Amino acid sequence: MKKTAVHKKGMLLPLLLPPAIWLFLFLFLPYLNLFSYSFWKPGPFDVVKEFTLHNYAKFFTATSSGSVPYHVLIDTVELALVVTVFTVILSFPLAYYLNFKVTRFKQTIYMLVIIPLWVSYIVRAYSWKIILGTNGILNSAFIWLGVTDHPLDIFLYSKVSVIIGMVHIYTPFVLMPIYTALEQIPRNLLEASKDLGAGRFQSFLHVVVPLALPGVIAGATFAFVLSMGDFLAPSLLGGPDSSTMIANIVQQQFGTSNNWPYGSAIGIVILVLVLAILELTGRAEKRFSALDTVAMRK
Amino acid sequence: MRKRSAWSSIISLAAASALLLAACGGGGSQSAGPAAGNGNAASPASAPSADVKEKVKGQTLNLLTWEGYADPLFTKGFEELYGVKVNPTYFGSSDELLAKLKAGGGSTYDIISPSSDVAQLLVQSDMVEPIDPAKISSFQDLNEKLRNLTDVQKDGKLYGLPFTWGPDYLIYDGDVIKEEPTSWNIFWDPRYKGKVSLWDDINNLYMMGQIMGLDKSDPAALYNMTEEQLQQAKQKLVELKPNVRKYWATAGELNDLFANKEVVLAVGWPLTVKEVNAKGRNLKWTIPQEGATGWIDRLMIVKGTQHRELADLYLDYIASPKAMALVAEVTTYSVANPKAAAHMTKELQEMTYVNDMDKMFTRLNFWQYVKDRARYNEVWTEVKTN
Amino acid sequence: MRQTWNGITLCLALFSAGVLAFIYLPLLVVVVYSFNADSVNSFPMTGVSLKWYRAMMQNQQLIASLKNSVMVALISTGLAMLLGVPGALALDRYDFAGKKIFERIVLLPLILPGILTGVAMLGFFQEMGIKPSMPAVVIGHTTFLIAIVLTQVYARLKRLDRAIEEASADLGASRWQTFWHITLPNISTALIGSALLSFTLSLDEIPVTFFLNGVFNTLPIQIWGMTRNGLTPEVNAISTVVFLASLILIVISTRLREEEKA
Repeated sequence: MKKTAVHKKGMLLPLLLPPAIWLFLFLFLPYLNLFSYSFWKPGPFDVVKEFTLHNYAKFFTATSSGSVPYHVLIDTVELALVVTVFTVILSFPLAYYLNFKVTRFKQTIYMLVIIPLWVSYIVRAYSWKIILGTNGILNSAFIWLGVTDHPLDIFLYSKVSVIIGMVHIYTPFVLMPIYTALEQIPRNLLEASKDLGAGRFQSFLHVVVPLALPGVIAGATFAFVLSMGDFLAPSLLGGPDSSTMIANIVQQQFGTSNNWPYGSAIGIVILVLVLAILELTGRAEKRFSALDTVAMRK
Repeated sequence: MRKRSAWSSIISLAAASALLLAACGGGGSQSAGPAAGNGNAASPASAPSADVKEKVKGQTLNLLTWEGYADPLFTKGFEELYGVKVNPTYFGSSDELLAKLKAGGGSTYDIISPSSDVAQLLVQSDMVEPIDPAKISSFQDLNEKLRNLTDVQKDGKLYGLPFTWGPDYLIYDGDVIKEEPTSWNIFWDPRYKGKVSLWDDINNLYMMGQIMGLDKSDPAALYNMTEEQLQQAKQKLVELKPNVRKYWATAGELNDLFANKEVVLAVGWPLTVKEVNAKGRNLKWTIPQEGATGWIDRLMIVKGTQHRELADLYLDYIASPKAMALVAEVTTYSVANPKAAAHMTKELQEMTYVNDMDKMFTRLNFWQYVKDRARYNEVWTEVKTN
Repeated sequence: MRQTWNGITLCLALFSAGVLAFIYLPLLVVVVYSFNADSVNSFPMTGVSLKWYRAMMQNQQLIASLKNSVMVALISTGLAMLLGVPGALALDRYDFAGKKIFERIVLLPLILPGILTGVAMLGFFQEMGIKPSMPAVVIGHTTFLIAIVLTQVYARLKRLDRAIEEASADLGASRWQTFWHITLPNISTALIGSALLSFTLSLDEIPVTFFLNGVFNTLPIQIWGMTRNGLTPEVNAISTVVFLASLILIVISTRLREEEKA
């Protein structure tokens, strides 16, 4: 860093220590505690502090009846990927349109995407029940349009409704970083590209996309992690095959089954997975930000 | 504090000696129930002194209960009587109660309403405080069988006040299913594909055990199923999945499912029949030939409660015929005090069997303490993630 | 060429409108059903009534939970600003050992699934003897809000033209004067933006709160509790009120900002 000359180191500690101590106390220690819980045994009301690897073994091996708990994790990852893809597909064109095509009310329209976050998640999920239900708005519309002659029950209490619910809830979180990334693309860069005879599509592909990618990756990571950790959408909108995702299993261990060590072990597995994904996306992001500095120099 | 506990031990001592005397005298009472003073001796509790009233004034009583068990319809009377506040928190399954209690304990909650599957566990694990029947003026009016259940007694002390009881019976939409189902097997009928709802709870395993006929000779068999039996039950539940629309997590959710015509068959509680029919629908219920499970809910005082006096006053209040009738009105569950009948409509009396409790008792297999609760929970999760 | 481009723009406009419609359809349903005459929200709606707004006003627990939520959001946002802004300044101004690691750790509470933070804190608080309560909820919220404030303000500081500050120092302004008169106004949009986003996320936070609240109910937890008896349209009513309030607030603030620019 080149711009440190102005200040002496003197202010570093007073500035840095408060947040550092807070995060140490309320982020690092709780996770450390979670980690240690994952090696203990469950008791009727409290954990029994005896070392065991059983909690991890249990998660990765088949039970006597042949079901393997970690398959839920795989299902959840699949679901989260689908949600992520849809959120990006919905967000990118909107962010692009707002940035490059809209001149008036740009801020207002952007805020329009954020405001829904103020309406309770649960209430929005319940609205989807009214829309997607067997006798709901969507089915009534389909029957009226003649698309189908009897109400379909696949829209609600199925993977479809869980995905729709999550895409709806997480799209704003993806839109924000993509919008910010697009906003920061220097307009003269696009002009230059045009002057050099690049077609619109070429400019888009070679200038806009690479520069927007860090935002897309950040947004996609958000969507993926948020939907992996969501236990409300599956329990509110899921059916018998989709109401129990990995977050529901964790929630059950702490919220009902009362097996904190097992829940902690699954939590640590998720944590490791998420950290690995962050590492990967972090690298990808860096690669593309490197690209963008190259692009800027050009 | 100290004074009160001395006082209560004197009362219970007196009550115990009275009982002893009665037993020596060879009185007709065959039940050696928990240390219980008789109604008259307990009269001071029914008319609390200005002292106590002054002391509890402004306090907040924290309830952790099943949905419907802290309705303003009956808590309001208590709030106004003592100038206090009732702050309810709800749980949706016995396991959730255990988890919340573990996290919060006596400094967070004062009174809980466990069902018969975990009540004993709570007593044995020392999570609750003994109750003094002498402080509950209507105690002797409560149904004798409920009063004398031994699962919430330890060392001669009583830990739970009988509150409500009821069935997990079969509910069906009378507009769709014209004939009363006679067996739980109707759930597997292909005609009702995607039209069935089960509770998201290990209760389903008890139910499968019942359908498998395990409780023919011993009711307790449902709560002590072997691994093999559990696997069999699991298999049946997995086979049922194509017919299941949704596992309901709360009674409210089941109400919505019926009200929106998403399902026509479910296992559920009387509350649902009452609330959905209030909206002009035609839900009916039945106890199929295999039988049905049932539950008995007790009110207990959490160990280490910060409001012991207020909690005692609440138990005294809620056991009274009037309050019990209001509880029945809100929930349509059967209540423990038969005298509540005097404050109920004819219809409600019939719905809650208030006049012939003992007859209904015999038709239900009441939940019992499940020793291997963790395994039951695992099997149920396996069903859901299969 | 020009022709096809217009076609693409039109498609883009239609698609964007479609996305907005997708986002707003459920909100429209929330608002419309707040006027439901029936107590069950099912389609089609049977009649129109204002009774749920009355019911909402009289539902003390619901109103109390809204107050609780606003209080938690205000306190947590305030704490997060107090901790996050200095952190951002430290990251921007100084090089220190472990800076790269710190930059990444700070992001974690934001990016880790809320349920993990929730259960981790639940276990830790249990060990510490801290009962689920309002302070526990505030600590939980503040921890992930710090990440928002810190990263947003840091990003803004990085783009700040350092020459102005240097000029100010050269002209004899003290470090504090420079901060107050130069730096702060320049990062004000990032401050307001991150505070607003923090407040928004805290207001509807569920996964962390779920494990830490005890008997302290925030609005979303209260609503979650109400689902047990079946959600009645009074929940739609209070959501509509919150929604409209936020709409007005945000329209005014964007107007003000646009006027400022003009």
